[in-house]
Amino acid sequence: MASISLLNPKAEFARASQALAINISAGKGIQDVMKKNLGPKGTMKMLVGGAGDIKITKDGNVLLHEMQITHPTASMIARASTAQDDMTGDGTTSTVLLIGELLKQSDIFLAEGLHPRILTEGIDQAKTKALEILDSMKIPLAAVDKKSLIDVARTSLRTKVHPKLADILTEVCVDALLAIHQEGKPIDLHMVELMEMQHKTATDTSLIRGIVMDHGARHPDMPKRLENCYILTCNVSLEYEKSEVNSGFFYKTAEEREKFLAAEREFIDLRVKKIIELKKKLCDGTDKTFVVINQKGIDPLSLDMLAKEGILGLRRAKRRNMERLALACGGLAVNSFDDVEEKHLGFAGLVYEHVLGETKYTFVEECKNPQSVTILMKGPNKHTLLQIKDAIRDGLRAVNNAIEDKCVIPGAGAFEIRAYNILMKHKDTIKGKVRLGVQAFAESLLVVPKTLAVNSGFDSQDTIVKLTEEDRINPDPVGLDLSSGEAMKPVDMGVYDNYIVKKQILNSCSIIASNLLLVDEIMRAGMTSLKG
Amino acid sequence: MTTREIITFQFGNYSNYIGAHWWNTQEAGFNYDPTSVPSEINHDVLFREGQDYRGNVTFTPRLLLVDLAGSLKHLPEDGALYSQPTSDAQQDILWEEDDGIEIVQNDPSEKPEFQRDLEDPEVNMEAKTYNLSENVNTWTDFLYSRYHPRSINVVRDYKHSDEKESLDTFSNGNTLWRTEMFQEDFCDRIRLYVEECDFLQGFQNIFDISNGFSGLSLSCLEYLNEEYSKSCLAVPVFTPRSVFYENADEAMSNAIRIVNIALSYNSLIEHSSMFLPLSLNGREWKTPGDPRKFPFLNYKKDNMYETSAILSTYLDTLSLKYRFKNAASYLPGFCSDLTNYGRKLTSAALSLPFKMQSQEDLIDCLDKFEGDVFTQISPNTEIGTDYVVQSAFVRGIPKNRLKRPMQNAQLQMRMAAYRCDNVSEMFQLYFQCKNHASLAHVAAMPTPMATKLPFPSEMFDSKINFEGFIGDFDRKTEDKVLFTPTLATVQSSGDIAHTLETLHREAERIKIKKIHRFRETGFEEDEYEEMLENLLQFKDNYEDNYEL
Repeated sequence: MASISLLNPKAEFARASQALAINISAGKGIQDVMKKNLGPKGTMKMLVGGAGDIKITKDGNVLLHEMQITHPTASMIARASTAQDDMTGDGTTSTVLLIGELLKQSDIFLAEGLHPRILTEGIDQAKTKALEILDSMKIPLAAVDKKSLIDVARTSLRTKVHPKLADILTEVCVDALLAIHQEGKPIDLHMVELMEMQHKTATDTSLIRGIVMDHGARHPDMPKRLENCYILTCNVSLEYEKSEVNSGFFYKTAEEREKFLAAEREFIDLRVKKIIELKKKLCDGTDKTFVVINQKGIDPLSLDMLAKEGILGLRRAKRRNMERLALACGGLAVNSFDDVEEKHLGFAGLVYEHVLGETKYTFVEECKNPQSVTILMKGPNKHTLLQIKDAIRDGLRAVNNAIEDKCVIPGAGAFEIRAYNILMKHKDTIKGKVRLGVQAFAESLLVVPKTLAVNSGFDSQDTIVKLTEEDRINPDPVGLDLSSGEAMKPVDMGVYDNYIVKKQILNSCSIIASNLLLVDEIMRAGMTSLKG
Repeated sequence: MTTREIITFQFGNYSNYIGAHWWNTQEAGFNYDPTSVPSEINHDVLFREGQDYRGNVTFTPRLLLVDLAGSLKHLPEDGALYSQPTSDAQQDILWEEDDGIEIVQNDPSEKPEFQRDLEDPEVNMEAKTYNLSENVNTWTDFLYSRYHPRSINVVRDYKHSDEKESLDTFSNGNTLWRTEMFQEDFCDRIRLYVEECDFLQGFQNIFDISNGFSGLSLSCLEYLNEEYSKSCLAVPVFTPRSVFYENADEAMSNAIRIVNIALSYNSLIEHSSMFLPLSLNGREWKTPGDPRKFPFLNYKKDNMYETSAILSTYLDTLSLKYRFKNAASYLPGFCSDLTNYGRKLTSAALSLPFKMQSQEDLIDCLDKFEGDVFTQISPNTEIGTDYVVQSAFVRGIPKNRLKRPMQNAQLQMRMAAYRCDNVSEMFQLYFQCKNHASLAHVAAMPTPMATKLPFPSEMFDSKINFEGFIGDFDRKTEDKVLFTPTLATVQSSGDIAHTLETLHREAERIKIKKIHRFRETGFEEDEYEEMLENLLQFKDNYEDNYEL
């Protein structure tokens, strides 16, 4: 009897082998759910909610949430996969698979009486070795090499969307990052804006070398299209804020109040006049035009004054867009209109409006040296857009990882195969039962190529034998060709994975699996059990 | 005249019940007849005009609501107004066509009869009985209004349950606000609404106070202040059902509840322009007390559908103060009038239906009035008769019911109120006479509130006739109450000090150290002490030695 039951007779508990069995079965269960989704040939899951909401995803974390898996162990694994996503943006399914497989392989040894502690020691040693192997397989990237980046992005994106679309998105992602990349500075992914347009089809998704905003002019007389524009970005209210004295106790009617307020407007008018003055100074007599983009509001009267001068005014711009506008068009966001000069202004070759249903979009394009760009995502409906958005995020992360790591790893299961072979050899050098842990780890790694093979319709054992054999005689890494089921060289085919992704998977999986293996008692003694 | 817009927020399940009723009531008041007299209400204040993907014009609430996963039941997250038929959705799945897709279908949620009939123009809904008060499982079941796709936000990290509160603590709500869903998407949705507005008055924020939504809502208020610095009217509401928190017994649940309430009040002092707690129970803090009594109204005290209808009536009537075409003040003025000396906590009172005989004139009605005109609906608050600042709105008393014309006025001539020419003046005079050293602003509108389906008009006493006045005979069972006169007021007086004192006393007893879940989300013991101190200081604002 567990000691907890002395204190709380209603506590539920499971001990030793029983506890382990619970954890292992959870690991396997969740692995089964996710298995089919791995790799470019894995399936997508379309989740249809009670009200007919559609969601299409392969993302492990989303799936676990949506499928209402409430098992505590399963949700712990799910969290590991979320962490993986937060850190690297890829490898969520692999994480789940590897943890499940580690538990499964360990189960065999544990059933024969091996102590979990020894096993986890072996797993830890194997992990360290695997990381060494991973380091040895790095393919360094020369500065910023577009071809390799495209390969990395394509490998990642092909597991997320249809190949046709993946190729378009690959191009878009790499171009976006190359545009904002500056030598020696880390990339801020926020400087790539993702803008949705529910319109046309997914393949119309494109990169805009400039900014797209999801709002437009709120005055009918403002120009819809301007060329050679000065762009003034500001954070100054052009909206009359009524003072708090306009109390209901003081005014009997609305008219009375309005009259009082009109007198107080002058203050705002002065601000608008300053803009107009600046515009006149810079643009009159030239072919230049003027655009004001404000983070604060612009009220109808101010809009009217601007419209009369042919100035395009946008209000309530996104906070982050202020920074991005400065990067894309030059200039800087001003907080007051005193002493604003030409050098504070940005410049864009073309600014135009596009209306779609009730939403207006404003495009700021033809910037001289844009260091902030926009990916304009198109799709006929919400769930398609969501799917593209997820894919693009992952694609951007993959490219960014590659730039930061300055290296990539051959994909298509090449690392796993190589690591398996080396670990199996390495295990003989280890004394005692610890080597069993190494063996379990090595076997587990094979789950990735195995699943890839099964998902593509090939026999898993057949494939593994073929691949390990090929790897032994070949000095170059060998991966699985998903269309033929034969061995191939990922380097030749341009299949690359991120170094950081693999590293993270190895680290987190071995830790989570070890923790789960070491659990010898599970108890639930919450207060809820007292209620009934 | 320009419209001054308001953006509404609803955080939490009960708030959404109230909201659903409120939007229903407003839409029930819409008049589609172009030849009739235009309504006195400026609907553009709370609603927005839009266009769906097919170019049809839509008119939807300028609303953002948040609820937990599983609470929408049959309603899709995009509100179904702008959605396309699902058939063409199948065609553009971006994956290999041949068995690359696994379809995981959840059990489709059955639409309740009321919703099915709404879509069927053939059915005469007025003739049918739906017994909604028994059948409603969630607010979407009786929602008549259609929401904009931007409106609905579903939190996936917590599951909705009628018995257990999974989003339990104030600090949990705070943490939730810092997730990407709120920081990015939700804030962007606010911005899109604000961008559309020409002259934003401010925000009204209705939220469930006893669970984690309080923290979420307060974080949102803080953000709104920082970003837009407009007025925010906050309306914390108390769920009529006592709900247990996840992994907590009764004592623990009560403690969590008080802490949530105290923390919310404390933040409201700082972040709202005015806050107006609503509850149909006389007492709240630790455990709910007895339900408030309305003459001529029978409601089940723990029925979400019925109680929320009463609270929504209050909001609908009171908000006319600032969304009425000839409104004397907008939200900022409305709030600042009532919150002198930093008295931001105010109290609500409602009269539903306004007690008036079917043949009586208002002048006689007020003359004969005994007892209170209205029922208090703010928890632990009883406003006395003296030193009251109040702002009231009366609707549904037609001009011809004010007093009799001179020739047959008889006794009415002798009353002081006979010189009043309209409803608001007469009420103002009434409040002046009734309360010593008080200030009241009353506005009025002759159109009554519509109480047609899905409003629970079966709550009305059988004496109430179809127009909402007290008749001499019982109403026939097949007749329904179609309209009702209402009076809603918001009050502030020294009595509120007592409310705060009770809250402080209850909160002081709690040992915050013993409630681990607060610490888990980064809440410190010192903050609790500080909060208690703050509440006491705030209470001082209500001491009577100030002049009005």
